[in-house]
Amino acid sequence: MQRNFLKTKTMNIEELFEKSLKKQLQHLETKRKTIFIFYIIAIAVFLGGIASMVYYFGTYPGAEVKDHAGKIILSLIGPVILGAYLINLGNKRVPAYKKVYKKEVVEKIAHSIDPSWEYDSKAHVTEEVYFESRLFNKSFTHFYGDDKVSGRVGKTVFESSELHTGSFQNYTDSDGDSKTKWVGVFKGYFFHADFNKQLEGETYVVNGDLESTADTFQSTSSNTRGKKKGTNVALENKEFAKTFMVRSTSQTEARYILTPKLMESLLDIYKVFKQPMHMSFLDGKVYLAILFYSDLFEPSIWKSGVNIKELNKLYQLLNLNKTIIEELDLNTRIWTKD
Amino acid sequence: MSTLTIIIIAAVVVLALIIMSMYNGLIRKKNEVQNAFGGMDVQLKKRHDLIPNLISTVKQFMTHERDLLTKVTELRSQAINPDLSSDAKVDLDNQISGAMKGIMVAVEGYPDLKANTNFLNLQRTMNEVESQISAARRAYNAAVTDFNNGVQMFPSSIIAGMMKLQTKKVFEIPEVQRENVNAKELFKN
Repeated sequence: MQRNFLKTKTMNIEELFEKSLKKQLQHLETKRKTIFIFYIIAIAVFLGGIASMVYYFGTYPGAEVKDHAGKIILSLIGPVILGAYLINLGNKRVPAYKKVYKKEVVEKIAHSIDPSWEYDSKAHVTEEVYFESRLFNKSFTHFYGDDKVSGRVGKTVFESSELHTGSFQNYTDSDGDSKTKWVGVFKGYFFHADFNKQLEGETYVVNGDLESTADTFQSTSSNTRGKKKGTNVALENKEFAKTFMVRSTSQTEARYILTPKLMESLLDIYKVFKQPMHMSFLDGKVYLAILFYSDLFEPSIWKSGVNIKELNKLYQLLNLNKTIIEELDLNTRIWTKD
Repeated sequence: MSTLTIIIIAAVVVLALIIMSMYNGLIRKKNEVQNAFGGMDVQLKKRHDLIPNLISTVKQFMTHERDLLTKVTELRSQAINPDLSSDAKVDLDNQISGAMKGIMVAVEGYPDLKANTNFLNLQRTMNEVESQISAARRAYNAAVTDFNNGVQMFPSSIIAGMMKLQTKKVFEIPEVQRENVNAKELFKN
């Protein structure tokens, strides 16, 4: 039976909204609207320039266009310059707006879940930890991230952040021209915590497209390069087996980790966001990466921030740290690991 | 060489390759079952090694459960016999599991024992071993299911018949163990 995480969290966020977030959001709304207005006027100016171009070309037949070239060029260049200036004014205000939003809203939501947690909007999970997870083996040249949350839930220490990795690659298109494209490796939410059992091998649990699955399962060890890590593990839970692919270096250890209860919990976590998930259990830790196609924890300029639905999404994301630890029962330390 | 001859030779080669593949597959599955049982056996031995320490720790406190402790000791002595068949090992393991659960239930009535450091460490180790045994059983059952599928499903069943392979039993929890442990019933022995 799936626990209903969504209903509980909506009630909590409504209380938080009324008690402490409403005033800040209304103040931030003024800043957002200023930026929004700059952008809207810029779009209107561009459209105005295009409209006037259409008007001139419509009014003056072909031969007379040359005589009015100055007016036509001005009617195009003017709006372009003005529009670009307005966009620039808006863009200059965006970083400050986002900074205040993260401080006044995201951090407050994180502390409402647990006041001892640390939130840093500029920090992220390190490259070292990303590599240690062995979840994504494709090389990358760029590693971005933000919105790091770290702390403890009961006995379990955790850390999470948004991460974005990938590289710019050169290629030749069908016309023979040299171009550059962005090839992403991972974009989304990255979490890691102590696991509550001793682990000797490596176990991977993946839900995703063929390419990302192949990337996680690809061995990077020098003597097994080109092969897959471990062997397939066929588990008894049919729904789990349909949702996730599992590979492990030990059939027994995979089942030691993926107990019937843990499999149900992972399914429940998956059902909250229904996004591709990659997990690894190795070196005494659990790593979880959830792929998201949009930016996380970023306020929208185009939608009002005074919006319970958007706040609830933020709450769910931040509360995921606690949800994972509680659902996976990581605070139960009845085995040999403390 | 005529076309028909070539086709016949090719068909024979393909058939031979299929038969070889099925034969190797069955051998691999059989070895995986043995390997999985070996893995379970290792964990059972770990549990057997822990029992004397557990008995000597709890018997200082548990004065009313002498019969239960004696039963576990006897079962353990039988279980460490190297000449036991696989079925006998499984049967004894089930009995030991039931008896160990009885001890853990009885421990609840002894607060001093529950707070004892040696017992707490032993309990953690026992929990670890029990989790490993449970995982090893599941791995064994998966290997047996895979093997049984190979033996029973057509066309590998033909090759399995020629190799005189028979299906194996999965590790089942006996009815006695499935019922909630009734501590009173255990102490009747």
